[in-house]
Amino acid sequence: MRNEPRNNGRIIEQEKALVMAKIISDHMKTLNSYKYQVNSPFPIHLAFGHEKLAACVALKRKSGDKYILTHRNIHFNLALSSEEDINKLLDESMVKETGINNGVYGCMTMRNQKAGIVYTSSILGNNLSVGLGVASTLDKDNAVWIQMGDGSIEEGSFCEGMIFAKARKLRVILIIENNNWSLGSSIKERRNKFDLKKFAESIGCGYSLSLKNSSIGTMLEVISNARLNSLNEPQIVEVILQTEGGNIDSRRGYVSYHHGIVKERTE
Amino acid sequence: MRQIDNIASSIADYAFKTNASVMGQNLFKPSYISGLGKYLVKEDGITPLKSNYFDTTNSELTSVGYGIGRMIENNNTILVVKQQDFLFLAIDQLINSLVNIIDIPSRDLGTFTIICMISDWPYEGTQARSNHISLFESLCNHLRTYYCHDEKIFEHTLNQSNKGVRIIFLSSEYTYERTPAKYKWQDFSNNIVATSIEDKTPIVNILVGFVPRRELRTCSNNAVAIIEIGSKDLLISIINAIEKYWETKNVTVNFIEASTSKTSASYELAWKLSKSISLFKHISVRTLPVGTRENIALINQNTSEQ
Repeated sequence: MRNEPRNNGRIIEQEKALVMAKIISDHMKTLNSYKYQVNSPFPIHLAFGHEKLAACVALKRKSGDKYILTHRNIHFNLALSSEEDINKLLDESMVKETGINNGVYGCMTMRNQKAGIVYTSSILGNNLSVGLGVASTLDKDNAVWIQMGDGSIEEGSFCEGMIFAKARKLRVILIIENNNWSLGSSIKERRNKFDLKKFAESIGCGYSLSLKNSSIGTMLEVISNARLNSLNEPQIVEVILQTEGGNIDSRRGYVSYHHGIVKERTE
Repeated sequence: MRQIDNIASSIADYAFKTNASVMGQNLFKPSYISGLGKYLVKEDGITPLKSNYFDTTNSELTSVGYGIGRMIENNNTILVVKQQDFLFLAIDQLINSLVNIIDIPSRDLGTFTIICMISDWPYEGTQARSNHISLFESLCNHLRTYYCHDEKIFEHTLNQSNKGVRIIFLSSEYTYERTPAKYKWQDFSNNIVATSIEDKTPIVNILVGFVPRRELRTCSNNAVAIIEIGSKDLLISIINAIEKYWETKNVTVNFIEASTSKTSASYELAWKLSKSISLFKHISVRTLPVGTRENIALINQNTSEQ
């Protein structure tokens, strides 16, 4: 009985996260439907399959935190922004002047500054060091969330940046969205395995893992702990997920379609 | 005080005044990056005066990105780099990141200053031949860069209230206070175009050098001073300078530059010129390297401010 309020609180938070994820998904479906319009700026990098992650980060953030994103940023932009900015985000994805960045950045480098998203880059590995610089300017209770992928950790800047982050004791949380794909090649096709946990431990950074199809409760807990621990040392959170919108190649089987555009939404 | 001491003092004063973070690889030991960091430490000669003065890891790319991130958040940073060719490791940040934020109003930015000790001295072997500002500028012509061969010019440049990124290249010749050996005149026209130079062929001397940016200069005596190597109008300026000789169909173009490097501006310009000009039957191109002091003297003698 004593645990009831806490459990209720957790359940409410989980429900909030699921509702938020659904809203993010619905907005992306709207964008997805635009792809056949005349003069459509597609391909736009959608993030079906990443919604829950974005919702968890949004729910566990602290006021004053900053965010550094990649080209697949739509889910974080939607999750972190207020309701009044949603249409501007969709417009920006369509490169319209009414967009959140006046159509200047488009979908690949879109950033809602009001939501704390200060930098977005479409160059793999480019955003990490910029995020470290931002982290050095924050109050001691705040942290920077840096989005990366399983492809960008192959860049030299990743190792260099993490060593720097630890040396400077920067409060950063790296969200590594591991969807197994870099453009059209899977991890197995292009390289050996890279044990992020061992790497993090070897340089004295924290590591946590969210498996594919983790429950929303588990994901919330992982993100929350990472945020808390980031005040002591840099954190790497590896999130295994599947970016939807792939197709079936007769020779290779399922291939993730880089842009995440779906023909039919798979539930 | 030596020239380098005055430059180091300017850095320390500026950092204190602007609350800038100062960083570099081996900034405090063993030799303060040629002395540039010597006034950033306490009396023990090792402990930084402030916690935001620090030795970085070997991470040129990350260091530059770090400075850019701080700049975005309206914070000031100084990065001290020993050799200009190290900065090529940071090209992704210097080009991609800065282009990515190009629409942020400068008033909202802090100042990120990169100070480079060696920029015109190709010592330490063949690899160091890429220590040449023109090569850097040809890649990063969107950057605000300065070349300071004098402590007063350096102090003035450093204390300008610029926002955004700026790179200050120091002249090794001046800061090390050494005189380069005289180089022989090189003629590489064999590699480019026709080699014959007739006695009466008009000669156009093009002085390739660096003066503070936005300082326009005009020339006489068939000389053109190049002040912004990265300018897209540069080649057009040169062509305009030699176009008046098209009736003769022959011209010799001498590029006079303070460099022996095959990556110098002269080589690049000469190649482009030979590929782009079609008015001339023969065009011979030579580079005539001189020392920095001599180069600057020639520019000052043969040009005047507009």
